[in-house]
Amino acid sequence: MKKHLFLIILILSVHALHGQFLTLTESDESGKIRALNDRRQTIDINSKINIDIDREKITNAFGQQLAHDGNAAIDTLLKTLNLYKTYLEKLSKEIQNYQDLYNEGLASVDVARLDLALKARAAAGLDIAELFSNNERFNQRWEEELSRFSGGTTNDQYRIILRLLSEEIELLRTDLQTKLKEAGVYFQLAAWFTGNGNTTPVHLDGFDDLPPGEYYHFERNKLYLTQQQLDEFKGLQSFFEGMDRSQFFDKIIDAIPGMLNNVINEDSIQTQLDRLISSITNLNTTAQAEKTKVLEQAKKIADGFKLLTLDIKKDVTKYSSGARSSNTGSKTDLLQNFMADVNQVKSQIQTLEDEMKALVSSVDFQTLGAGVNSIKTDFNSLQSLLKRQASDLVERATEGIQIAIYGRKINTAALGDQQSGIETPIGQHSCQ
Amino acid sequence: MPTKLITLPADNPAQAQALLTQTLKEDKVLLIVIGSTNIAVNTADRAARFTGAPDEPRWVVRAPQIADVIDILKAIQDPASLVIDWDDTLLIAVSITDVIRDMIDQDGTLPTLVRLQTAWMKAENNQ
Repeated sequence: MKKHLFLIILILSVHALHGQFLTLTESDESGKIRALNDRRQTIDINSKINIDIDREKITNAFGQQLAHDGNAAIDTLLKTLNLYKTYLEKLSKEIQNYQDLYNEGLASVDVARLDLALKARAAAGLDIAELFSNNERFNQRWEEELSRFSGGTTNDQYRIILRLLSEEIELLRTDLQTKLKEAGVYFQLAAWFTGNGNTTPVHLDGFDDLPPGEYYHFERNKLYLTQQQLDEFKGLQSFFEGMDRSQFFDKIIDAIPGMLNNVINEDSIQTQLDRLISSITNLNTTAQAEKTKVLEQAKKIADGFKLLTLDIKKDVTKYSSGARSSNTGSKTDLLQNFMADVNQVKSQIQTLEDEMKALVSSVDFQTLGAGVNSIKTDFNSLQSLLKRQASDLVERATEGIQIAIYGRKINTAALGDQQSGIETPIGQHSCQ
Repeated sequence: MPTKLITLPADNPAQAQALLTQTLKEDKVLLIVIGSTNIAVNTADRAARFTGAPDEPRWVVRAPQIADVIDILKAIQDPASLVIDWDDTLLIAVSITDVIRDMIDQDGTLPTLVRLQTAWMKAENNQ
């Protein structure tokens, strides 16, 4: 005997509107499809059910009951995001204009033109500053950024303002995501298995875990977006997603060669290594075999270090401006590759460090006799020096990349949870 | 990068005047810091960090002895009457067309970097 499921549809409305905005179809094992139109249906347990939900019809049906407060909050949010967008575009444009002028050579530009460019750029910056004049967070962040600022051009200072604005946009967008999640209509769908006179509830993924009772009334503080508002939000979202961040990239990418160059204090390490090797060579000891062993291993470490410095030099060339391409897409790749190279350097340093550790622990310093303690100490201090520089390198590189992309250091754990698009809570579900 | 900070001589009024006059004549956006207090010296240094590239127009001038150059300072256009009392003035922001566009007074505190940015922007905004 065929087993049947009772499918009962409980709907968030006192109106029996399910026929208008919910479409259920059953496709059975043989592939035959039929529409399910009754409120209580028996279906074959092996069938598939498709539930189609027409969002627009729902929003329209419940349109009259939009919470007025909710609407105002959304409009304010929309207005603010649009304003930020305008300011962002304006300042970006003026930064570019000034840059073009600068590239012409400011000395050759006439004062009136220079005055205009300075003015336009400054006005855009002042507008943003004014907008956030009472925002403690914005001003604290700005002070922080300025205190870290060194060298660079006036455009770099204006870029700081752009970055801070983009931080504010991110904060609003999170707010927006939350509000969008709240905007929606929720359905509860339940199913029971009947057979042998018993009725047992059947779990439907995603449909029966709402708290009971919720479907009998609206929560009046929930926000309902009209399609127009939703479209406007979507437009803004994709603008902000596509924001040209390449202008933030420029400075950090220029700093990469310097960062790599400075990571290892090559000269001092090389000097220490040379001195070590010569101390070992000149060691007066009868334990020749031991001495030879130590010398060989030390030389191996020295060679490893030479290779490391060559790799770093190669990386420096790789990231110097001549070798780079200039569009945004490859800049992201560039940063990813850079991180990979940084990690590579770091693990090479790690290897050297380990080799040194192994050397120190394997050498029978007693046998080698006097004069050997300072060698041991030198090895240990070289090892800790390398370890420190490796972790400095990774930390500074990571920070640099985060600033380039996000305008600030970020909590990477939290970033992993962020979604990139708008999710509406209503979509197509199928269950069997 | 060498800093774009001009410190007028403290012991040579004629030279100080000549240097200030010359600097004003050039197409520069200037923050002119007044005095020799710690605050004045620090402010001048801090402001100088934001002068940008060598070929950009921002420069900082510090006048350690206001008495030597007060006539020149008073002659700078100040249409909004931003300067109330030169003795209480720590810094003026002068546009590329030699108009005072911002003023920070001496209140015993070191101006924040954000405040200095605003001074630079107001000078560049030139209105």
